Amino acid sequence: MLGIMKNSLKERLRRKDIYVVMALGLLLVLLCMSGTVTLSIDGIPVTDIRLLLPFVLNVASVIGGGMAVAMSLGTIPNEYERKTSHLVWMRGISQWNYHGQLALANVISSVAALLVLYVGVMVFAEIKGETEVLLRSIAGFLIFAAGTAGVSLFTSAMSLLLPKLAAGAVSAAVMLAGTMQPVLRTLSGIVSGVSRGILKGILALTPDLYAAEAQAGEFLLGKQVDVHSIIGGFLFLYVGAVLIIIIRRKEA
Amino acid sequence: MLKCSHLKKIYQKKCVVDDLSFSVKQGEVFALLGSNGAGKTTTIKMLLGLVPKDGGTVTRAKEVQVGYSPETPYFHPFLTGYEVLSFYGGLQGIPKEELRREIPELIKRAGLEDSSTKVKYYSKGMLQRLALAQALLGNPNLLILDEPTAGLDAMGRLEMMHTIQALKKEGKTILINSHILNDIERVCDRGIIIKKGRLVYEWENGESDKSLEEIFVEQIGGME
Repeated sequence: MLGIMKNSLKERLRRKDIYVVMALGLLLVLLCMSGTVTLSIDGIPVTDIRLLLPFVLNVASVIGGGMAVAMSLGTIPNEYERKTSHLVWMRGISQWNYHGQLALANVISSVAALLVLYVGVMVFAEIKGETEVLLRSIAGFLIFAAGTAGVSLFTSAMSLLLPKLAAGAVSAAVMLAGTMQPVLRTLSGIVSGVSRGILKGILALTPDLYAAEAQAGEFLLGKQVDVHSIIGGFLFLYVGAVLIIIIRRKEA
Repeated sequence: MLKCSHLKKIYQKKCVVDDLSFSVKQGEVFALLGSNGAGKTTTIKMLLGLVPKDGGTVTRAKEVQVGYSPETPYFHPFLTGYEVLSFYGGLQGIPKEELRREIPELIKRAGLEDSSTKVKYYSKGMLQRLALAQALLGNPNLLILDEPTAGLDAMGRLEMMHTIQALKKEGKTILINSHILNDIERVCDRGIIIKKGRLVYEWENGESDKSLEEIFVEQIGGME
């Protein structure tokens, strides 16, 4: 029933590129936690895990989003380029089913890559003595992964609609704008004129992935979470899924 | 068994298949003939729903199950020959136990000596054999074979022709697109010659004193 999805996952595991991407991502997260990269507020270095965790999660979210774009961009176009789609279409498999299964394989591998980064963060939290964080880690990951899964689905949908390069650029731009909304908001308050208008437009058009992902941090630290922000993350996931279903190709 | 009426396909304002009508009867081997770019592969793709038609209809009896071997067989390069057959068989909804029994038979029938090597290491001839084996999955009653002997050596061609003849004896209906007129003459009952997307000649084996090659040259007009 899910043969296309399993086959796509098998391809990733056999090509081994997923391991390279994960290793690079994990390395970056470890760098952020090791002290090589330091976070300072008003010149004072932040070492408290409760202050550091949201920052590290945001870094993991941006890296995870980048990995999701990279891993989801080529899957569907490759099927059409190498014409393996012909033998799928002629067997009466509907496009939404075909594309849906390929997109699902993208989501699974993107979330798996994110999980590797997340586990790195959790280990860091445990080392710092935050056992409470570990206890909340599974539910926290579900909140945390929604944005990355959404980015993966959105990238899959764009790869159906646009040439590879353009799809990658649009998806990466949406992902970056979404995960860096606070930076954009601060910038829009500083600049004026056309630049301000452009930034306001970007903020209005892109999903606030930061807010959704930040709730995972709040949840892990036992703070009050904003349910609306979490719903916002899942809404982006839903939009991606709808796009996958409605975007059709004319030819196999 | 299969009827095409007034098929039409336009690519970038150029009509590549134009008002093409033909029908394939049950149990016969039917040939689509024509030079390169005549519209044969596009016609097959329209029959299979791989490209949309710009006009005309394709009628297929409800009980018809189609097997298709593409012109240039492309498979997932990371899979072995066995896994390719297992994958497409699964998509057809063939139960696993049935596939375990059917796949070795198909491998033997298609003359695929090595089914445990990854497809990316296959020669073109091996890919053709694998393409035929996957087309036979689920025992379809209509086979559409697009250039089934392309890339095969002389021995491979002979074997493929024997296989097609055996399939015909089993009562399968076969639609072949091939450039090799000797092969066509050996196995096909009827066929059509297409030129620039239009039907120019309806051929029936044994109907004329002229060989298919002579008829083809007359109709296509490629030689003096």
